[in-house]
Amino acid sequence: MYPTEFEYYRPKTLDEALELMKTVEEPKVIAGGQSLMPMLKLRFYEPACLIDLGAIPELKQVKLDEGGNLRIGAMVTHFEVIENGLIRENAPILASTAENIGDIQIRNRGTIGGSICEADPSADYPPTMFVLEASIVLLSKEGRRTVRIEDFIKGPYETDAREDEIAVEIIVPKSTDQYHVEKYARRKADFAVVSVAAIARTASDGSIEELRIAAGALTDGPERLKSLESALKGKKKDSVDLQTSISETVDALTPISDIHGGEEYRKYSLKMMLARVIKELIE
Amino acid sequence: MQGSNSSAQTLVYSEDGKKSGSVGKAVPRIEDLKIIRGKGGYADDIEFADQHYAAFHFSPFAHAKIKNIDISKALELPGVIYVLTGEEVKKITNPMKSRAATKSPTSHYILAVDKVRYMGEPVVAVVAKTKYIAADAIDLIDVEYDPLPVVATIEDAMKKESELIYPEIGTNQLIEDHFKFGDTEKAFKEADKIVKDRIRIHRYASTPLETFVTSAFYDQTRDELLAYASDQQPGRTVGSIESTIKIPQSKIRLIVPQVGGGFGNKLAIWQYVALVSLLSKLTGKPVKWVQTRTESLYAFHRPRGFMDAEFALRKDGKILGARLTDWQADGNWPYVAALYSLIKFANMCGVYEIRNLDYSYHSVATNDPPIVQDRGVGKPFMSFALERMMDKSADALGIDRTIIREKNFVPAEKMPYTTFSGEVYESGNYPENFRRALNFSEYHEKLKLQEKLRKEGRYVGIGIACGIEPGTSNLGYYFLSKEGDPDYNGAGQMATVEMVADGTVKVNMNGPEIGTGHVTTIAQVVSDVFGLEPEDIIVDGWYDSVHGHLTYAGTYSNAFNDVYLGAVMKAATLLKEKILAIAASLKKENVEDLDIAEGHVFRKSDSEKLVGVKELAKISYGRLLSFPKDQDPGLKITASYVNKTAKPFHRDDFNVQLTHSNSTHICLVEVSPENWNVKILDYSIVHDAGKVINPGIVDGMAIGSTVSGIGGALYEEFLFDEQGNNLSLTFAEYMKPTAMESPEIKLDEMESPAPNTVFGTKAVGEGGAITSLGAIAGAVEDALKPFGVKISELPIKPEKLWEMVKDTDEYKKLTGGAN
Amino acid sequence: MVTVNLTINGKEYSGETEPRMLLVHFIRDVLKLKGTHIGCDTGHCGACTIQWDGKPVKSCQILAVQAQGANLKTVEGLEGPNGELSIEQESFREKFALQCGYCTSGFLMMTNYLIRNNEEMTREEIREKLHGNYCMCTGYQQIVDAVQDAQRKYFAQKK
Repeated sequence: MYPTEFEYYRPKTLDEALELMKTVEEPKVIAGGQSLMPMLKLRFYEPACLIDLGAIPELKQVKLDEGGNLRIGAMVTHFEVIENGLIRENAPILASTAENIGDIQIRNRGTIGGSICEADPSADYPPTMFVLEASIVLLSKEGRRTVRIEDFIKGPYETDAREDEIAVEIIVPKSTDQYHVEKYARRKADFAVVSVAAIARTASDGSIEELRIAAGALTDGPERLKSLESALKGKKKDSVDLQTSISETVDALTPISDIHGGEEYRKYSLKMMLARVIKELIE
Repeated sequence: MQGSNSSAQTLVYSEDGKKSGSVGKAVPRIEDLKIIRGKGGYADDIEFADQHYAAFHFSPFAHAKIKNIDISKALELPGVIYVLTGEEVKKITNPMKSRAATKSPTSHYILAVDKVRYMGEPVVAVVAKTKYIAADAIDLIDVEYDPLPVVATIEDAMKKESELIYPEIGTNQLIEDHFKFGDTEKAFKEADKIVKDRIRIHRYASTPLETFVTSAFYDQTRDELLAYASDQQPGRTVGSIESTIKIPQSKIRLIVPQVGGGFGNKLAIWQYVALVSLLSKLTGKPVKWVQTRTESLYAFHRPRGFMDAEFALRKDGKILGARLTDWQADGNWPYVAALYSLIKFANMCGVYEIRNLDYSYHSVATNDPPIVQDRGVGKPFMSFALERMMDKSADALGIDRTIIREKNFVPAEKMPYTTFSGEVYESGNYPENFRRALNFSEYHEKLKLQEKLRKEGRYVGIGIACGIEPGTSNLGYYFLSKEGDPDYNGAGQMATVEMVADGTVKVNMNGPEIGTGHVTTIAQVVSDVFGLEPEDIIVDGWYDSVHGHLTYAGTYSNAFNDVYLGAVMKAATLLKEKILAIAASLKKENVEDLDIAEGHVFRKSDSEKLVGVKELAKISYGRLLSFPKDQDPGLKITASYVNKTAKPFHRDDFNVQLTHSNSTHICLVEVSPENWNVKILDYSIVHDAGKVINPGIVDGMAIGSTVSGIGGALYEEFLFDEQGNNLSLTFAEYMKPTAMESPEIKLDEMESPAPNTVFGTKAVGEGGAITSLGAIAGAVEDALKPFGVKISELPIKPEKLWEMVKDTDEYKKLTGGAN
Repeated sequence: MVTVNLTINGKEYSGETEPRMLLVHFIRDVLKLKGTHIGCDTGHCGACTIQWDGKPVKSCQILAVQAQGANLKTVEGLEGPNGELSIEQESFREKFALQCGYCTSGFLMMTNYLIRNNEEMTREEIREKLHGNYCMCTGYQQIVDAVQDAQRKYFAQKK
């Protein structure tokens, strides 16, 4: 298929890009393009102007800041997220998450920033970002602001970024706790039917010291399952009624309902997956 | 070996019947040498000078009147040179006709006229200088539709007050017919048990990776059309171009380059070849159309439908009789209505003896998109229904699923076996095939494994299916339900073999090469005739209508191993005879004492080389004065071949296909209680396709067709909403199995040669697509036995299984009642 | 119109394109390298797989203008200078890993990458790494055979 006509800019510096974001009409950022290109080809999206961030070297860096947080440039590809030593060491759950995305070819082009800004409710990164309590750094001519991931993703395909802002960096606090990230889809490259990201830490006395769980493939976007977390946190692992807590939490969610699975079926599957994942993590 | 083809066979098999030469060997494919270098030469790789491109506006509605079409903005777009609408098409073309229906619709044109009947029907065509501009122009076309009530299902279509797809016919039932064989009434009276079920089939398709591509140039200086197309049945397309856009066949040259997968789907391209040809004629420009994937998913699928099946059973498992009523939603492309129902006669009783059988069929028009002859056509559904009924019958009688099959196999000693309707199973040993499959798949060990895993709380099941894979279509079965003589048939083919002046042997099979290894297979058999190596033979893999063809020439219906090889061998044999006769004259030898090998004619008695083939070729083309007076110069033979076992059509005795391969599929699956997804743990096949010329090629098709069946059984479905909107327009929704979902398939082979083909070969290419459905369904049903689940429809999607189990006691046990 | 300069199979190419043109159309229609194919609209099928700096990417998911200055490799770049088949080309032919061949260029470009960038792969691993490439003919089994075979050949050659 064939995209409609648009103007195309390939700025070499962030400043140049921010200037363009302010001056051109209806700017649309293209990062790796792995979500955007099909939309352009199917003509579901007809932008007037594309700003390609592919030539800005500073967006491709991965650093560790003085606070021990990972700072991942928006144009870092999924492939690099998997391979990068700093990421593997300081947020291994993130590297594992990236392995689930698309296929090898897609992971070689697709970027972490592009994927998060797409805010697809069934995408792989968001539940992981929720449990990592990551933040997004947004830049514009007006200045810089840092937004927590839960505030950044406002709903399906909707983010907090203004039209003139570019997401330049993802800040990921170090997390080396036990983790589990999983999606169920009939084929690996498909968007999740059910997805879960979780990290946990148990104390030496067998109590659950830390537990963060998020689910994806929900109608309003990914969610931290805080009621489930608080039902379990602080408890001894053999004294929790996992099944009841999971049921109460999941029954209050609204999974996506489409040809890949209806709401009730997805709830069932999510419950089953959560039960297994949490059991594994706290054992 | 019998009949006129015997001479061909003796050339390949020595006196003790053993193979010689390259036949039977896994010769690496010659066609690969181009393809793996990126020089396959597919239809989209071919460009005319000053190439222009077509694009279409496709109907967004399943059923609507076309109130108005505004093309003015599109015409103003720079680069657009023509816009064609139904109004003009109605004036200058003829409508498409039904083959089988007694009353053909008269209002369905190659471009929609006045109304649309399916989402994705072409309504307006544009010609522009680039693909991109053509797509832009389509966006500027404003079509005003007035939606009509949508006829979504067979049930809707059959209601008295239903909207009519073709008002001129007066009914949505395009064709219906009833057949009775034997004494079914008596069988049902005497039955110990009667088993009934309604078995459903869904919409799916093989979706070749190359979409429809066609280009055409109408040369106004010669009033001649030159067209290229990724077309599987070009012989018919030439006729259809004539009948719709009125260019005489004598003025059409149609070429089919390497085709990027066919599976029957590319039998439907002719409508677009006609459209693109018309666009070229109207503009004077070469016009190309490359279908996008979404456009390819709009239309041309297998039909959905259902079969009401009833078996009359004796308590030991013997089937006394069957009643089958087939309902197919044949969409609304009148051309192939009823095809899916009629071709079922080719495997209606499968590998089993059933003598008393009543069959009714109903071909119903709905607002589903058009159908096409997808891999195996109606036979996968027929086999699925039969094998489901076998399992259900076994369960109802309380006997084992293997026993009921053994009880009903056509006994080997009855081969060749004529079925209730006249289909002739030319050879085979079904009981032996089954025994081997049980053994090969380690069936009894699997039973033990299953028992063990079930105790561990795992849901594991075994499925068995036995199937017939027919080949070579005696196409005129359309006329079973209609007066007249069929004027087309798939049982013949025309081919040319020549030795050119430099002594090289060239073959033109004149049928499309769609990925099934024809070039290599032909090179193998022809090289044996001339005592050469396969790579010495130049086989043209392109179809070109200038070489001549029989009416329905094409690559379809598993017919290659029968009629293509028949025609090629006939021409090759005649050519060899001619070469030997010339040599005999020149060298004053007896022709019967001579043979050819390694580039020479030699005397058989003492292997003395008498004359080089190159020398003979030079003489035959050039040295006409010294050329033997009793021979004609030139070494080019065109020969036609027809499989003589094709019968004329009588309602009580007919054969729809001419060769019959068979196989047994046995698989082991596991269903996850977490998400009800099905995983195939093991898959075994014992396959009998008669003599095999190239095992590398044949194995590949046996495996590939099985995975295509698995796709249909577990993943693939075109879904429609109640307004007839196709919800599966990308590969995100229309889910093809990838390498991860495809099992490792274990394959074993038997060889029961066909007595009615030149080499004893039989059908290859559809078997897995036919037989796998029943094996998968049986295995899933078996896995979920603790839940009492019954499978009567496909695809087996996780959510559907969950719906089926969630109110059962076993489920409550599994979930502790919490879900 | 924009002029795009890039390197394909070690050779420099230059062509005019609108910004909206897909890289795969640029390669096929402008540069006339027809070995890279198109099988879908959405990045699922992998028929258009090429290599960019040695890594496989889907050329239908990239704009031609984004490839300004890029170093690409297509199926036409696999064979040797005198037309010798590469090991993956050989293996695909020997193992009957293609039928219609339309998907083959993409699979070859993947294989060329995979066998060089992985330890010895199991059949299951090969299947997992190839799930972004569709084949409608073979059922993948002989493709997996070919990748295994090509990797064995590659390791043998390296020794």
